[in-house]
Order: sequence, then structure tokens, then C-alpha cells
Amino acid sequence: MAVSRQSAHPFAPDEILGVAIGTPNPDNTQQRHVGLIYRIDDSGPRLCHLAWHFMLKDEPLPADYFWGSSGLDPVNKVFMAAYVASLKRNASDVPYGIDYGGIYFDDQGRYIVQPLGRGLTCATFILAVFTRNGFDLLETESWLERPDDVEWQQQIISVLDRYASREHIEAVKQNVRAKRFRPEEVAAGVISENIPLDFSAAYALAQEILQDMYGSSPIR
Amino acid sequence: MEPAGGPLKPADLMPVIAGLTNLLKANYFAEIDRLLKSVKVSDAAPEILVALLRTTYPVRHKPLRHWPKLLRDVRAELAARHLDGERILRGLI
Repeated sequence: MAVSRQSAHPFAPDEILGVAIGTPNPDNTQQRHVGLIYRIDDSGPRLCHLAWHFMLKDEPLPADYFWGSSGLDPVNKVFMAAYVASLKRNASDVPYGIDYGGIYFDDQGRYIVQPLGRGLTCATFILAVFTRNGFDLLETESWLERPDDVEWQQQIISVLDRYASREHIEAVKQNVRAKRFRPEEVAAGVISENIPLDFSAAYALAQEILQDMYGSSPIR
Repeated sequence: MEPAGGPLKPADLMPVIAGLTNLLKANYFAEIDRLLKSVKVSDAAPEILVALLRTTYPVRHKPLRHWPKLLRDVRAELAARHLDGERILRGLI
């Protein structure tokens, strides 16, 4: 299995870094959310994730999420777990945006304010955190643009409309059709030992993750 | 920075990351560079060495003259300890 449900197979006591993926909206179980799991000592695992526009959260790992262990070597797992634990203090002001590219965290680990309309999703937040520390999880230039990603982007903008400024929304709309890095594809990058993953490798592992999450239920 | 026995835990690295981050916030690049120069790689745990290199990775090209040398020294030290330096230093070399 690529990922396991936390309530059935808890994040093991000797695990310190991983990825969590779940469906936090009971009204839309096809909307997936992803975050980073870390454990800094003998306490329980925590989930650091960009929940929404300017909403970086750090909380205990929910039982209904699925988790996978990081594919990094043990030395880097220790470092990245410590780095992720410091994010809430250093990088709390992250807006939501649907395109991805460039540098998002400065040398101090703080979020670099981007041009209006730019920001991160829950998935690209993870890519940016790893990139800041020298890890490319995905070969982003190999990503394909997919028609159903445009549909998702438009849905997100309609919801974001209730939370972000008019100027931000209008600028985000200019990024519709940007390449989308889906939560399960970024989760694949976190758990793989062979990073960076190109599109086809990430897609294949993402399908395994979805199979673990949904079983035989239809996935859109 | 000497290994006390067994691999370090993330909590052990947090003061290192916080200390370096504070120096970066204050733009104390000369002090960071002196710190990187003074590291005894043969005495340090690999987790500490990785924390030093990766925390300062975004400024490696500009003010930190000793960053590349530390990277070379760490690579050699990991090889001497029969650790997989290519994997541990992935993205840095």
C-alpha cells in the first residue's frame, strides 16, 4: 500500500516525516487535501498544512487522514521534520493561488510576498517547502495541462471569492489553465525514494494512493 | 555538536535551525560563514551537518564563501563513514 488510514494503521512511533492526504469536506469527497506530517520527539504526529487563503495550520494528525512515510533517507527526514516544525512560526502568511513556479521562501524560511494573485495550494505549498531545502519532488516542467484541472481551478476561484480581496480574485483568474499539481501527485513525490518524479511516474503512484483511499469507489 | 550516541531527533536540530535562522534574519553572514568554516565535520553528527548545509542553502552563492568547502568536506566525511552521501546531499551537489 502507498498510504494507510491513520485510524486503522497509525503513523508508527518511529516515523518522523510523512505526508497526509484526506477528504476534509464531507459534502465533496472528491476534493482532496494534503499536508506534511512531522514528529519532533516522543509526542504524537502533527500535520502542517496550508488549509486555505492565509491559513497555515499545525495540528494533531486527524484520524480520518491517510498517511505515507517520506521517501527521504533517515538523516534528511530528521532535518525536514525539524524544519517543518518551525514553519508555523516563520511562514504563516501564505495566500492561496493556483499557479506554481519560482521561489516562495527566503533564506530565513519566511514566505516571500508574491505579485497579486499568486500564492500556493495545499499541494504546491509542500513543493515549495522541499524546494527551499534543495529537494525537487517533481519534474514540474514535465507536467501536463488537463481539461478537468481548469474545471477545478474555476471551482476554487468561486469559493475563494468569499474569502479573498476582489483584486486577488481578479489576478488569480489570470492564472486559470496553469499547470496543476494535484494533492495525490505531490503526495507521491513525498513518499517516493526516487525524486524528482516526472509526470508519468507521479501519476502512476498517485493512482495507487487514490486506490488506497477510495478502494473501488469511482474517482473523478 | 558531537554525536552523543545514536541518531539525533528533530527536536535536537530545532535549536540549530533557529540559531542559524536568527543569524540569517540579522544578515550576520560573516558570522555564519565563520561558523561554517569552524565546523569539525569528523566530530559532528550527519544530521547536524545536513542542517547547517540545508538551512543556509538559499544563500550559498552569495555571502557564504565557506559553504562549498563545507559541502565538499561533508561529502568526503560521509563517504569515510560509509554513508550514502549522494542521497543524503541530494539537491546540494
